[in-house]
This record gives sequence, C-alpha cells and structure tokens, in this order.
Amino acid sequence: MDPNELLLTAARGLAVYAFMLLVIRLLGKRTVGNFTAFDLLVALMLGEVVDEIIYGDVSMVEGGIAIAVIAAAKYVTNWLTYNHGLNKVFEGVPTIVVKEGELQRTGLKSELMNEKEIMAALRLHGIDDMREVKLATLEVDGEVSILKEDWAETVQKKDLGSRKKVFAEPVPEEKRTDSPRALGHSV
Amino acid sequence: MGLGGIAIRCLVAFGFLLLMTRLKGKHAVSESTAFDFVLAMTLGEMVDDFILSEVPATQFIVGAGTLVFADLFTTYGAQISQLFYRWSEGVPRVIMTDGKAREKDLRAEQMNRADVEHCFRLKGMDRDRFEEVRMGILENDSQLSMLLHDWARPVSRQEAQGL
Repeated sequence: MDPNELLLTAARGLAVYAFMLLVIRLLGKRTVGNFTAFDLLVALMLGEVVDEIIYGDVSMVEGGIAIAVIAAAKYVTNWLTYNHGLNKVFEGVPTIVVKEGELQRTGLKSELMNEKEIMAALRLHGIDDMREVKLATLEVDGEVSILKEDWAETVQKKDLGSRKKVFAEPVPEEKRTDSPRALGHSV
Repeated sequence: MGLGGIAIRCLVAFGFLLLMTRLKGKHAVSESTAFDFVLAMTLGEMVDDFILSEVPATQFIVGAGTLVFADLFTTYGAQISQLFYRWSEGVPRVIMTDGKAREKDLRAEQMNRADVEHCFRLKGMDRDRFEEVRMGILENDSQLSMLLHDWARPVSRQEAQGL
C-alpha cells in the first residue's frame, strides 16, 4: 500500500478520534448506570461509520454527517425522555419482580424471565432468603436492583447508643474523596 | 482468500489488539465511559475488514494503531494535565446533597426523577430513605457513588468492639 494512502488513513484516524471525543462528550452521561440496549446499538452504529471513514470508504464529510445525525437523534431521544418522560417509549419501564418476599409472576411473565434468574440475581446480592427483599426491580438496563426490608438491613451507627470512633480528628483535606479537589474541580 | 488466510489474519488481529490493550494497561479494562465503548466497537469493526481481506494489513495496522495511540496519548495527557483530564473524561457531578436532589445538576445531566430513583435503587437505597444520603455523585462512568451520613453507615468492627 503506498505511503500516502497510509498517511491519509492515519490522518483520518486522528480526525475521527477527535471528532468522536467531542460528540460523546456533548452527548453527556445521560446513560445512568449500565448501557441500555439502545445505547449499545447507537455505539455500534457509530463504530460502523467510523470504520468506513478511517478506511476511506466514505468521505470525511459523508461520514461526519452520518455521525452527526446519529448523535443528534440520540440527543433528541435523551431530551424527549428527560423532558417528557417518554421513558416508556425509548427505554421501557422498570418491572417489579419481587415484592415483600413474594415473586411477582405477572412481572416475570411480562419480561419473559425465569424464576431461576431472579434467584441468581438475589444470590449475587448475597441474599439467601427471599423474605428479606422488600422490592426487587428489573431495571431498564437489565440489572436487578434490590431494596431490602428494614429489619434485614445492616446495623447502622444510629442504631447503637454510644460508639467508639476509629479516628479522633476529622478527615484531613487531602484524604477526603468528596472534596472539590478530589472531584476534579479546579482549586 | 483461503480459509488458512482468514485464520492467520484472525490470529494476527487478535495478537495486535491484545498488544494494544496491554499497552493501555489496566485502565483499558476498568475505563467504561461511553467513548471507550465506541472506540472498542470501532476497533472491532476494523478488525472484521482486515480478517476478510477487504483492507490490506498495513492499512489496518495504521488505522487501528492510530486510534489506539491517539487514545494512549489522551490517557497520558489526562494523567499529566488536570485540565485535559476534565475535558476528555468529564467531571463527576454531585446530584444529591442531604437527601435532596440538586435540580440544576440533574438538568445538566438530563436526568429526571425516574433516573434518580433508578440509580439509587441500584445501590439498594429506597427513595423513602433519601435523608440518609449525605452526597450522591454521578461518576464519569455513569455509576452512582453514594456517600451516607455518618449515622446511617454500617457499624465498623472497631465500633462494635467498643460496645
């Protein structure tokens, strides 16, 4: 392959990399927690287009427009979901699968989930007794969230009377994980 | 394009990608921002063209290599410059303080009420107990960091021994 063509490939790679970084940063962190199926598909679509650009199968302009349109469509979907609560249309709605220790069979059926999968999800949370579960929800990203009954929660410090502190002094500034500095803000 | 040719190219691509991943280090595995994901998707797409002989090896290596080195450069830059880190990775955003959602920050992240309850549920936090939350932070990889008030935190061993 002639060197000019390779140089062009490298140049396209750099240009597209910078453009994608900008696009993704503009789209923001809207995806909360894990990606939804839709987010995965969008990422796949973007990957497809980027590949064509780098290999020179489409011009930078054509590819750039394709990326911009996909990103814009995702942005509009995000906006509609956020502003108009169109979660139902674009992401689906969380489904309750366990309530107050009882399996919700209608929820399972609507999500085509097997009882065994719920058991696995509970095990992953370290739960061996379903009665400890106040609410288990199949979230839109496919993960099962667990809310435990109050009596099953770990003992909190407020439940004890007096307590012995590990460190007498307050946390030194540089050891705090929640300071503006730790959060990456300029100080 | 014999079957043997495809097999060899698969192995070459596999080795190349493995090398690239190792160059980036543990970072590559733990970083799960949306951008890293799209980058991974792209590399996967590029590999497919190479394996099926739709592009020459040199072009694949230059193309994929450019992306990976651009990424390495960005990672290195993020390590030595705070400003660059903020720009390329984003900034963790505080979305809740003392049990109350911060409307301005939620708007900036395009999160509505359902999203807030969703990410706290993933942490096992019921919305009725939001007052236990001292600080809720949406990290760069979209995970929620939930820092509780002292009185709501689990008892440590040291404290239990003091009883």
